[in-house]
Amino acid sequence: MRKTRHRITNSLLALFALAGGVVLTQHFAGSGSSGSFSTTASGSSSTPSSSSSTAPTTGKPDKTVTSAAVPYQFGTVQLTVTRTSGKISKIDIGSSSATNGRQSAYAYLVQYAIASQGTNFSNLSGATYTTDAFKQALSSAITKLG
Amino acid sequence: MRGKTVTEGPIRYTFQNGHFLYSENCMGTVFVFSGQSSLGEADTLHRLEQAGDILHEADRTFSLYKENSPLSRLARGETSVAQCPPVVSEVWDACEKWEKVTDGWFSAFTPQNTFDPSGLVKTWAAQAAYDFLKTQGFTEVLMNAGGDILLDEQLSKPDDWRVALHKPVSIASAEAGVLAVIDLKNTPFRAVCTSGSAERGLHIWDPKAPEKAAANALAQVTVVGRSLVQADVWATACFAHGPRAIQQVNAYNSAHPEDSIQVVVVYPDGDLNATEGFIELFAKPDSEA
Repeated sequence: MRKTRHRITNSLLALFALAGGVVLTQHFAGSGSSGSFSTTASGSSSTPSSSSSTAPTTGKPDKTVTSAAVPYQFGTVQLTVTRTSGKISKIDIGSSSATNGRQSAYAYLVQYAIASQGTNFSNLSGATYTTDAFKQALSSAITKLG
Repeated sequence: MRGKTVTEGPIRYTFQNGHFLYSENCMGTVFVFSGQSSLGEADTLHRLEQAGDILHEADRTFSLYKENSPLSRLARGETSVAQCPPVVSEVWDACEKWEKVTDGWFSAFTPQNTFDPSGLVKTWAAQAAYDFLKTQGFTEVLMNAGGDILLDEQLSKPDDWRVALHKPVSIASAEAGVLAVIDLKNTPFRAVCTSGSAERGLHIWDPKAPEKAAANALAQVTVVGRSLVQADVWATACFAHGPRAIQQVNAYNSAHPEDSIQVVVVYPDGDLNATEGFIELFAKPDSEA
């Protein structure tokens, strides 16, 4: 690692970019035409409306996309997302399973969490890392970026 | 003297078109500041270093790893709060206040019954450093205090409102990655703090357990709050409390809507639970991606 004070790489940003890149593989792999994945299971209604806290984005055509079925520890998760008037208007939970005696609300949380993973972000919150862990993660990120 | 040693590593700074990125190693972790400055590169750096000095000053006073810090001497009974710098009394009062707010789940008194405000000092000092930068006219300031995040009130880039929550594993591990992304735009929340055992092991004691044993019922707690210290203190308190912290915070939010927070917890087996309302904070997937 360089010791100069002024000349440095964008290594911090690289770390954050890497963290984002890691999860992109879990992001929506489907498109509007991948109907084979979709078909919302009957009974799984749309999620609570939370668009009041969402800033509207304009200029994007209405669209429905369906995620790949993403396996996770307690089953699989698949979401169908509908955008209307530039806003996410609906998130349907397709084939999904959550077991292990958890409350059903937990599954929703996990699904929302997975759905959010592919979005962009500027910052990363985690348990307080040590300086050494931070350096190690940085060099790992830089190595992977080539 | 700034008191830097080799083990603290290099300071990093970039400056481009008024946008700065700066990191300071202090308290065994890394503090990262970014934002916009109308000053030149050197003047901007000077002010960022002053913000760094605020962190180091707090570390010199409060570190229990430094044998002769006022706090270490206090813990050994060699001095009294009244003989310590005034900030010690200020932090002591803050700890007492937060102990009440959290119904005793945040406590600055160790299993040995000595005063250890480590659960509060990092973000308390980080807030002071941040406030200093704001008085210098910097805008769009984002701070990452070793994994605890504070956002400016005005941010022009949509991504800056979005904060990723790390999985409950070390950032240095092969499994490092993002658990979820939250979006704080158009919410009353500006701070995101995470407590867990992923980086530093079981270091949070349960103030209500026999012998104040280490809390271990959760792998990780993330609190989204209105101020950095509020989020940090509640993250420690919820981790100590365990799974029932969700019910505690739901009740607290009902009674104190103006100070409400949101909490998501990760169980050791990877499952999640959260307070009522957290679901609205998840970033909406961009279907164009």
